[in-house]
Amino acid sequence: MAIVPTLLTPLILSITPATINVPTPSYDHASQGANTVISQYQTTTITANGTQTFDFNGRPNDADSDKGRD
Amino acid sequence: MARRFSPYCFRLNYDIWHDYSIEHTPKGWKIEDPTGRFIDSDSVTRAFWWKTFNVDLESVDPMIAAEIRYTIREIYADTKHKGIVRGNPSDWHKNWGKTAILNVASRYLKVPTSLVSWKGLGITKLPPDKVYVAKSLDSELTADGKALFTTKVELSQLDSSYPWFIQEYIESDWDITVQIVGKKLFPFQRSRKDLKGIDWRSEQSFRTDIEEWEPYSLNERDESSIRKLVSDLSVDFGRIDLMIEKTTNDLIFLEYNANGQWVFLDYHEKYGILDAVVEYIKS
Repeated sequence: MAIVPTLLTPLILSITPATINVPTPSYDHASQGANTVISQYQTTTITANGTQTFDFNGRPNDADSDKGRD
Repeated sequence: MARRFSPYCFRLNYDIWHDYSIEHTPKGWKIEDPTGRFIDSDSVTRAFWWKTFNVDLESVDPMIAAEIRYTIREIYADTKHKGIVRGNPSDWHKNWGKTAILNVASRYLKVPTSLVSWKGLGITKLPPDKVYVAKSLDSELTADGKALFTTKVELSQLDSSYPWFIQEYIESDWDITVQIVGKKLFPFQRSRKDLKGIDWRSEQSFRTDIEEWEPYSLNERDESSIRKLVSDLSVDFGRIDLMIEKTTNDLIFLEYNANGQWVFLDYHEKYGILDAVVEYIKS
């Protein structure tokens, strides 16, 4: 019986983003900033054809992620 | 950045919306934080909108979340009407998508062959001697929280019943990115030479000494091209991503991000980006 190859879909190509475990910084209204020290982590990842930045949960974090949700 | 404007800055955080008090009438608005600090439609002099809705309010009913966003947008719109906004609105890309921007960029810079295809239309026109990648248009996650990262693909293996954003793969040893702040350009480069394939799932390290990017000098022609591009897009803020093609050393335009991240380029404030952003907002 011939084996029909599975075609690729965007969903098949999608993968779970890498996440990092860091304490969520807490916001301080008095200083209008975080009241915990935030260390830097590698915010960009080398991907083909572009520079992508990600948040702590690995979610792509560049312009097109901003949701107007109109 | 809020500290640089202190005590004249008011920071409104969407994700902790419940901490703020808002009074908004047809005659004006006022926002107050728990410390008693406030800003209102009479006193506001500048507004800078930064990835405002980039998080989901997970514990908030979608209807309530929509009500929250509506009010924040109305207040932002008021500042736009006053002509005091700096930077780009969060939905800027609704009017300028990737393909439209590539079209504008192609007037001045090389761009990769790109195609958005439904039902496979256009795929047979793609030059067969090139390598291609599949990319995401909107960076949305799947229902189970996965992301489509830029991935090399064989066109013949793509299921044409799905929409695809396909782009020519650029062989490159250097990522280039240029942060635009008013009339200033901050170009940076990052080496791809030690990259082990295009596996992005590198270990994230929790360090304070990371400097992935270093300043890059644009030649006169490339700088002029970038300035013409941003002029045509009518923007004065955002980040342009490019690459240097390996065989030709040409600068290849990839994307413009109206609200792209920029702190990562100058985390230790060595190159003046934060200073420039502060001055830009004040201008």
